[in-house]
Amino acid sequence: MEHHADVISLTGVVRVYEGGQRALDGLTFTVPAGSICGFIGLNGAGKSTTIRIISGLEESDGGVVEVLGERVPFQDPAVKRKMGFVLDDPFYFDWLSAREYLVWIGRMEGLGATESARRTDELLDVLSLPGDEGQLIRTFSTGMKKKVSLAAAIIHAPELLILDEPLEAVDAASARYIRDVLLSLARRGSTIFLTSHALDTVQRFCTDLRIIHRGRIVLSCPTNQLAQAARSVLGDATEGNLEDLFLRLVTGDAEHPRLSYV
Amino acid sequence: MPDTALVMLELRGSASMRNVVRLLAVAALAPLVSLWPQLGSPFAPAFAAAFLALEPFYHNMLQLWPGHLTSYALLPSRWEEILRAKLIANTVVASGAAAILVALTSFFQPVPPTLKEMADCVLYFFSVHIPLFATGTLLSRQQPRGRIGFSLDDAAAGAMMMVLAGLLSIPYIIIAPLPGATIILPAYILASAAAVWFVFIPRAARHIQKEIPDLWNTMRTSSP
Repeated sequence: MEHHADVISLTGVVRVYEGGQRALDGLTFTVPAGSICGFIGLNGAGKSTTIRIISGLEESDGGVVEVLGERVPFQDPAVKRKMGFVLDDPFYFDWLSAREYLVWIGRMEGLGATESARRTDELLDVLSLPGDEGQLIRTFSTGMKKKVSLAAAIIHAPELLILDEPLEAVDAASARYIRDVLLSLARRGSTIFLTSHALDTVQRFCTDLRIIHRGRIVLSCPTNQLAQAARSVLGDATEGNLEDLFLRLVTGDAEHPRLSYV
Repeated sequence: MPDTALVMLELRGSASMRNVVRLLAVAALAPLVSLWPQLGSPFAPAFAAAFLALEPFYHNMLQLWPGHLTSYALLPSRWEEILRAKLIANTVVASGAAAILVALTSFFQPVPPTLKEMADCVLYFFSVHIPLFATGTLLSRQQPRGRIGFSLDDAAAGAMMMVLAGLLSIPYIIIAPLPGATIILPAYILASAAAVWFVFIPRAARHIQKEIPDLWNTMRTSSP
């Protein structure tokens, strides 16, 4: 596996939507190789936009994005063979069974037919997905579809995994298996960049954190230096878990409005 | 040559329910072709029906089903390879559909078709299909639809398809009555296939690679 110091690097990335809304406002951060980097923020903070730009699906209006040492948009699509994606928009083919889809993805990612089928069997088993040829993905629950996306992202054991809410709608047992699989991939050198709203999971699971708010990074640190980093940003003796620090960073100390009738 | 897995997926996707329904809906009109006033060829309505039923395979080839463009954009394959896989799969599907509709039309004809008429059908189909694939690639880039079905946009695209198929029939109409047409027509078909495979597809692939963010955004915003 080829190693780059920073697997993902964004410098001054700007994205302005129609109507002038600045989804990303000079976004700058890096993701070190071999890390499990949690990318967190409120709804609309710019997480999914960032992920789509990194994936090459969306274009930035300014700034530089580099992934695995290649500038995005990728000139050589072969670089995508080193990457796996779970996006907020599903891109599996729901008229295929999970087995058909995964075998196909494995083939497209460069695996031989036998190896692709073998890995598909293992993934179906580990993620408790139905391997029945007659059961099409369109009949699956949201959580099962998410697991299909994840299985497709990891079938070729990529160097970089980009995961938008990989555990959303996934049951507790599967979530644990998925975390174990991701940890195994990270141990063998893969870098994982993921978004999640489950902050306790992020704090336990991720080695690095990037907190985005209104299109800018407001905190960037290794997870084990969270309190120290938050203190330097907030300027006081901050204590507490990631959720407390995150809320202080992105909403400040202002009291949230309450419902009068409750 | 494109990966066989890509060609097989395109073929499999072509047989998905919505596409089959479109084709069956058109095939159900086959008995009406006996009303065709025998202008040009007795098989003209069969080809018109085939091109109409398969309109999305030409004009919306990048988004034949939800997630189609996104998935291909994230694959490590080159667009050149993807477009060639599409050309092969489209040729199989369109020639199959045209053959079925021609057979249905023949069934309702008062006199069974001659061998020459059948050979003319094959030449006509390929003389239109290959240029239609090229114009379809252009339209798929310029006016993509997020979802195909039976909407007003689909109807407008169907009308556009009829106009284009008519225009692209002109070379056949000019060449067919000429002496030596049996040599000139296959030569025309081979030349257009070579031009599409070796010149047009690489150029279109480069454009698609550059236009992915715009295409993806259009697909996304035009999906219901």
